[in-house]
Amino acid sequence: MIEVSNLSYRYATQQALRNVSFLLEPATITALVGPNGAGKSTLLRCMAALDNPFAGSIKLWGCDTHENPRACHQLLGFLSDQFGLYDDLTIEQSLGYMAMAHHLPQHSLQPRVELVSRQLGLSDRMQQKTGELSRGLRQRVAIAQAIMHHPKLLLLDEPASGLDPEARHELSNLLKVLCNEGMTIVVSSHILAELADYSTHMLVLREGVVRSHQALGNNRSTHAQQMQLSLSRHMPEAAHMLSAQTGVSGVHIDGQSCQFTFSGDVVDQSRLLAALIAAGLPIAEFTAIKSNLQDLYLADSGRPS
Amino acid sequence: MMSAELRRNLWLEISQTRLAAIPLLLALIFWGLSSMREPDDYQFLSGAALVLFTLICSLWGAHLASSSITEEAQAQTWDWQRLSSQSPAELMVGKLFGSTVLAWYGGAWCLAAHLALTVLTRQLPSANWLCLSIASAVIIQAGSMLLTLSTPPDQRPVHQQKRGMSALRLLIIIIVLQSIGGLGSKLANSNSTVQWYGADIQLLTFVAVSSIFWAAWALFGCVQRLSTLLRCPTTPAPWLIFVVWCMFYFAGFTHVFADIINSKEAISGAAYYCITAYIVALVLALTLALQEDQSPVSWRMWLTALRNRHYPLAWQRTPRWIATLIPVFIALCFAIFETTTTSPWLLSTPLVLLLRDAVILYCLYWTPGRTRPQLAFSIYLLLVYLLLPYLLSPLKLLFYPSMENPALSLMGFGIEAVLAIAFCNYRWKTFYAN
Repeated sequence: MIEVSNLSYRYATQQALRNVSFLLEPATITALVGPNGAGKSTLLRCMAALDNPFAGSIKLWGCDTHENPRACHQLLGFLSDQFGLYDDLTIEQSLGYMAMAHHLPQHSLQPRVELVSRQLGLSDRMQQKTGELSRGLRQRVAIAQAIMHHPKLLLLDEPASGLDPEARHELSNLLKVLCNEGMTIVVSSHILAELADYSTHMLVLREGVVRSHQALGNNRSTHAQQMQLSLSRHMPEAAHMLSAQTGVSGVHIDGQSCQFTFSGDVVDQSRLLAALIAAGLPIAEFTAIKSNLQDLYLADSGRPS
Repeated sequence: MMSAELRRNLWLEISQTRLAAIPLLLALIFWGLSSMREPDDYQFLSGAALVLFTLICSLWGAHLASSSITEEAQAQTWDWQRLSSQSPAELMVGKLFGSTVLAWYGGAWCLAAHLALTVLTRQLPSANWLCLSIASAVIIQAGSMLLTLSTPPDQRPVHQQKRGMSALRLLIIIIVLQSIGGLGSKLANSNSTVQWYGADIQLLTFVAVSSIFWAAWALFGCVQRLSTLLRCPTTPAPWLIFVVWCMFYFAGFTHVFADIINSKEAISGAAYYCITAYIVALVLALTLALQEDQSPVSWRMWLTALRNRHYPLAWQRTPRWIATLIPVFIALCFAIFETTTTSPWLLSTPLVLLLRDAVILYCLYWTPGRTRPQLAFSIYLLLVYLLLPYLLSPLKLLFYPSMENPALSLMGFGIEAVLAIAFCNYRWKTFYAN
């Protein structure tokens, strides 16, 4: 659990964060969005225990970043938007160096380097110097370095900037894999469409203030989410049949389309679908309604989508 | 297991070509030098080897040590270091001895040549000279790194990032080397002595032993500075031990201080020791007040810990210059106790001036929208201690303590200090209290 309470941060000429408070649940991906200068990078640096806030506290699984920053560093991986690499080292040396710098046991150094390089698709380039790599590959090496010690929390500041569509897709898949492995991820980005693909939550920051913090349709936990059911023909008793199922609420029928709220994970969804088919509902389509991140963000900013 | 940073530097620095090229290059230099003299002038070559060692390990080594920090800023890799699990000592060893490994490798060849040539002259190699050479190189390298670390790599302005060695560092290295060179002839004379706490000690032995201590302190200073930058919990205790060491070390030369004052008053030797120690502690407190992080955040962290009565945490967060006031005050008390004729008011005045100036420094740091508080403070010091006393020479007593009426003088400076504290408090409450 990540707990941010009344966080304030001041630069010499301006206040970057004002009483920022929120909670992040484990194994979620939070999209940190907001216009330029909203305080996203400052918030991430404070969460990474790299900068001291003027007031307030951040606790990572009970560890206070203010009181015990070094212990917090062991729990997290951070990639800033202006990250750098040791250009004269090969990828293998860079990853090996990072594993040693995190005091990984000697016997697990090589297996960990191999695993992470495989995850990031770097295995076939291990002897290449990082200074010779493209922007996309450098980004992958940097993410590999950030997750080398298997942190519980991964903070990424604009990780997709400068990446081509293919590399972005790979990044998206990687983040989903890491999240499924139990890692909590916070990603700041301007590319909302891409964030919508993998984010489970959205945190909107504007002028240093949290404007909204909400769950999105991608939530893989047991939170309630909106579902849609399309029937092959109109069936008036569908509403009653749906409401009788466990975890279903707020059923709304419009012709052959039904919308309802469902509490449960993907296994529960599978069970619900089987039960509805067994009950004789002529189901043509069964899907979760993904919130459109851009619509939500623009709605929050008071602009038409 | 080898430190990760040391391993990284070894990967970068060591190659077969370099390992072979350095001794070849040195051999060429020695061959060139020997051709300038008689072929069997081993004494000259032995001295030249030591000079070469100093040049390689001190000048080149200092540049490499300093670059190991500036390159982190330039490559924007400093965050990786801060987030890693490496201890400050590991990082110091990795950076200081890893980045300079080739300089030490070249230096080792020079020392080997020096030893061999000394044996050829049928003399015994001097352990003192060897100690002094190696310790001086460590002092210069560690000092250079410490100076670079005085600005955290992530806060270093871009125009400074590309410079491996600033003009200030170069100046300090030249001064250190020149003072060693100046000492050289005296050191070479085995009859030269130095007086320390009244005892006559052979100069070369004294300098060699001192240099080992100072090298240890320079390394320790690097570890302490890295601890702060890596956000490891540290207390002011190590710094205070260093202050006490400086007070003890320099008080030993108190006869120099006595000669400067040339007082006809009957001041005891103990009083001179105390006064010297007091002045040394004051200078260190002022230096640290200028160098330390005076941001409202660090001040607030300290106040919060004090308010919550979390005293161990408050002790960790105590600004080091404020902690230095403890030995300053103790030395002042001893000096007043030991001195019967010199006015206690006169002795207390520098402390009050230090307080006043430090508070003014805080006022400058706590100005919203401040850009260069240290520059503003330097201008203030220039005005108050040089320009205004010169321009308003009849009113000199407004700026410097009066020897005739030290109590009145102290009272005046005390009022100024109180006013500065009140203004600083007002500024804090206006901008940062909530």
